[in-house]
Amino acid sequence: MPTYNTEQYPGNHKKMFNFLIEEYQYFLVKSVKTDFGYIDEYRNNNIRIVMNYDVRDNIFYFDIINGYNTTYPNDSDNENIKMFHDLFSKHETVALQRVMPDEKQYVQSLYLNAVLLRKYGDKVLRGEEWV
Amino acid sequence: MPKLPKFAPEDVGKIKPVDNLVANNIKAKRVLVGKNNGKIAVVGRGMDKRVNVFAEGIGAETFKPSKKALGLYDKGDKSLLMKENKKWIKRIKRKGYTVYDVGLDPKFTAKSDFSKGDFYEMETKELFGD
Repeated sequence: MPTYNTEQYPGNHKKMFNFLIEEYQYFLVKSVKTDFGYIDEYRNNNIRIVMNYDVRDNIFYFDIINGYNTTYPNDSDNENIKMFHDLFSKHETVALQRVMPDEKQYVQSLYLNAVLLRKYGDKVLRGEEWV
Repeated sequence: MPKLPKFAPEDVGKIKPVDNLVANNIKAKRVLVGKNNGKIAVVGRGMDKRVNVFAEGIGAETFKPSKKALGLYDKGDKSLLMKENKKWIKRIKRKGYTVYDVGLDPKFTAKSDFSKGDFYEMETKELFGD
């Protein structure tokens, strides 16, 4: 069971994903701490980025959603809801575990998600192509 | 609210697969049939994304930790959270709740990731024996 402190997550998250606001003009429309983790949602026209860090289950649910009105979450929608990992995997082989928190850390994995989203997500974030 | 399946008295205590039960776009995988007392709970991995969303859709209970447990787990001590989670699981089992399991996120299982994490693993061991 992980024993690291997650109190700095909101600050780390905002710093690492600030490029969505600065470079892609996204709006942070939701940023909440729940009983079990953190949820941040960014929007820009037709693309939504939802990042849910479930601390109890030690997992990142980081998704890209196509469509302002697309229902989320939705177990059956594999067309308009994609994991960050789906995008990364189109460009390079990345083990799912590398972009997930593990027993020892969450910060490096969070950082890797930000780096790869910035590296491979340009056209998707601009709404010019889909995953 | 979706129509919940009805069970026969002889089904009490049995684990049954659930087909086509979807609430708020989250699918249930299986159910531990409880006493016919109207008490329903939900377990699964992904509390905010799937478990609580499904539970709201059927009017069921989910695990709610104490403030003390939440304060400790933010600082890296999850022992009280686990203790309370286990206590809740034992209580719903003792009181004969019908427990729906929404399982793992299908987007993860599609990538062959079937890891449960410590908490959901404890829940499935206690309730479903796996």
